[in-house]
Amino acid sequence: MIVTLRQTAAPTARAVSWTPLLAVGCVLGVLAMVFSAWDTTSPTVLGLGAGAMAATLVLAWRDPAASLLAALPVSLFTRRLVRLVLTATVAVPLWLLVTLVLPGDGSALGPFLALSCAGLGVATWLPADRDVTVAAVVPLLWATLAELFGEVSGIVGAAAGLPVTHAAPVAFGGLVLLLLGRHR
Amino acid sequence: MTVLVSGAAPALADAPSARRVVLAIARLEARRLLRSPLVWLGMFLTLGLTWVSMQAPDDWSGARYTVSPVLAGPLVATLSFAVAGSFHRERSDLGSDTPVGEGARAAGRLVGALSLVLLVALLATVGGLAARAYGGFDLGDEPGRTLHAHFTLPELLQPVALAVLGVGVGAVAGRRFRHRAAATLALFVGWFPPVMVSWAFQSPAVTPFSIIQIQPLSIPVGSVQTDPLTFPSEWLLLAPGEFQDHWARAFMSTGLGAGHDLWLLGLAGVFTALALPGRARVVLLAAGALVAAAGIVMQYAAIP
Repeated sequence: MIVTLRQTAAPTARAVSWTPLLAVGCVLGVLAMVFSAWDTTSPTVLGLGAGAMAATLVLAWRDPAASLLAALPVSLFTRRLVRLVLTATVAVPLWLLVTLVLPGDGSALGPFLALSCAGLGVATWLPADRDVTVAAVVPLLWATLAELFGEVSGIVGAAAGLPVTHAAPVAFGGLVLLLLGRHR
Repeated sequence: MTVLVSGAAPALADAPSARRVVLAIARLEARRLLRSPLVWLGMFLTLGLTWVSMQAPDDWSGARYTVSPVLAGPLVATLSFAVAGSFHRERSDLGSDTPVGEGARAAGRLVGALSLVLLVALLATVGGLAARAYGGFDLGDEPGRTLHAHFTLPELLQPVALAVLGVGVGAVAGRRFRHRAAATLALFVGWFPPVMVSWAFQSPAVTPFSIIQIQPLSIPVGSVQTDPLTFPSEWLLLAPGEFQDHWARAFMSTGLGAGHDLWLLGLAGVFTALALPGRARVVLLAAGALVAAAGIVMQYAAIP
């Protein structure tokens, strides 16, 4: 199994679309440097940046050749896992670097993981013929809602702010969805 | 032979003009764009943000006035996602097989996208009328304060210019990115700093280049010890406080707002040009750059 995974790593790395990750990383990097130069903190950049970076992880599951590779003895879940590990190897250090350069406290790793897990959980349960792009909307939209309505009192604000206020349960919920759907 | 020629002639005469083709595509695109769930999601976010902002306690002078320009941000961002989807269809091989050239198709898509600009214009009009009915906003600190601040025309037109820019950046992202998802993500990370962190780009030196301009500008006019009654009585003032250790003039200007709208329209021209084929690209690129430069000059000229 490990040998198979190792052998699939190189062609998968070539097949993954790195453009979204690089685009998001570049914009966040520039923003972090600008804010660092101004010595200004911005929780908004962290919040929405976490959503954008999480979306790149979900998008990495997009495989135009999925139906062609379905005949292989390597399951869809395993192939997606390889893609996830490959992109996370770049995305997580990139995110940590951005948060290191950006003035202010915290790396927002909790919201980033929560949003990633939520998006991946939804992607797992999408119908087979639906593009995972739909699931990439989840972290983007949730991060946006958290920024716009997270401060509102009541259930709307509480639900919108969940990835920030209750990152661990959200991440756990996403992981459970992911694991329950591993044989799909 | 005679029959063939006489049969072909009416067909040529009936060939639709380029204008009719563009309008036909525009009608189709407008219908598609106005039905896009992305646009209505943006509308929902904009209306929700408006409701939240207007419900929030008006705990500092100018809070509601200065948040207003940002309210159209979510709608403009999602509008650009929808336009990106429209222009991304241009990348499919089907386009090259159609009897209409890419220039006409792009023009049709752009004209169709004007329906979204009209939607934003409608929203801005409703917002302006609501502000009038509300009686204006609290702005400035005593002794330079008003409770009836109203938006100037260029400020009301800013969301419309932003929408035109949204169409431009959506067009170029959709046309030039290989995957639509990458285009959408690039637009998301491109839009959120100017919309959600717009306060960071409001210093007098930077604001001419900002995407969402928030008036009034804060221009330092005196130290904390200065007697504010010595300032001209027509000035709106910002008192020393948590965020500044000096008296500042809350500077508002129609010229500044108009220059900023020009800057946005010029920028929209530059971005749109990058989505177009052939000679139209060069012409629009040059025109857009000129208009944007004029807007920048006009803004710097307006700031004291």
